[in-house]
Amino acid sequence: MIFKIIFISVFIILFIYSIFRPFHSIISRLFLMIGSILGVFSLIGVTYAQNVADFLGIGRAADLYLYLSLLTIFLFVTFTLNRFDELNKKISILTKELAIARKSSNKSDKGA
Amino acid sequence: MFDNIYILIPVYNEEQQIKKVILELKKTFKNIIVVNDGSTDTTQEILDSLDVINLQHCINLGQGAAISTGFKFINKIKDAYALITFDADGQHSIEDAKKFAMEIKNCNEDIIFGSRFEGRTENIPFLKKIALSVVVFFTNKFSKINLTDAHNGLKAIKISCLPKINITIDGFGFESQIIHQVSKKGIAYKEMPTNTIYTEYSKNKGQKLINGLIILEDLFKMGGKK
Repeated sequence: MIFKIIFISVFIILFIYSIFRPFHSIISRLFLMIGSILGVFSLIGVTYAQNVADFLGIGRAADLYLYLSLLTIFLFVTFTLNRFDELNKKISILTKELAIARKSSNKSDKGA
Repeated sequence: MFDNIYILIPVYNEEQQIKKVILELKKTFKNIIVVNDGSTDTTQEILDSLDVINLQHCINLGQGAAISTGFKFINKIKDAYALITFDADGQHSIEDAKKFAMEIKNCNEDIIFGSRFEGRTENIPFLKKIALSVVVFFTNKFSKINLTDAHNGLKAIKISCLPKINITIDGFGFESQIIHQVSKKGIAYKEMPTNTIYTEYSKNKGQKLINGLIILEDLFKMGGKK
């Protein structure tokens, strides 16, 4: 019982955090929000989860959570890689501009 | 002496060859721009001792990024008429660079691509020949162009057409990106044979065969952005 309370508390804290934390995209906020709701739901509404699994034709509530977890991991990896790509592009532009700016300032130093 | 034709050399950890290459080029070309792409050996110290225009990337980004920086810099030089890209590992011949410089001054085309497949091909290592053929095939298909070599570091480009070329690929795939833009924007081009010198050093320094996969991935990405 104590573990159930701890987990529910953690998921509630995560839900509150998802409301107040500034995110880059609404999708990231929704991820955390829905994830924490599903977490609470998995602990207090096992029967409902089983009903949802039956409705979707998955069979077991545990499998439903497994598939959702896998989907979350894949989406997380995809979004993270895209973010890395964006950051790489920004670093690349900055490095190029810096190289040219340094050269230009060296020139004007010599000219002065 | 070519005064308004600039040599552009991207450099990464080339302490063994760079001095020799630059001193040889200096006999013919007055203006040499070297972009040091975050070298971690003594390349920068060597460059400091030579009479070149030296740009430095504070971190290593890739050959495409170094070329892109060079393009942006040369584009601001008022008296520049054309540039020739030249590899730092000594695999290009100075004679070829001279021929390219003469030709770009006189021809109507805006860009001259070097080709290892026009003329003698027996000095190209067998596996490299196959990998290059695959990359050329896909580059031609994707870009709707007809070239015999897609990844030759020796090229001559008129400065007037540089604003039409925007390199965003930092790695080796930038060559295919240039070809793609040449085709897409209708830039006039031609090919000229080059005599590439494959030494043990240049083979170790040059593109690895596995890079062919990365280049193909970049091509697919470019295709998706059409």
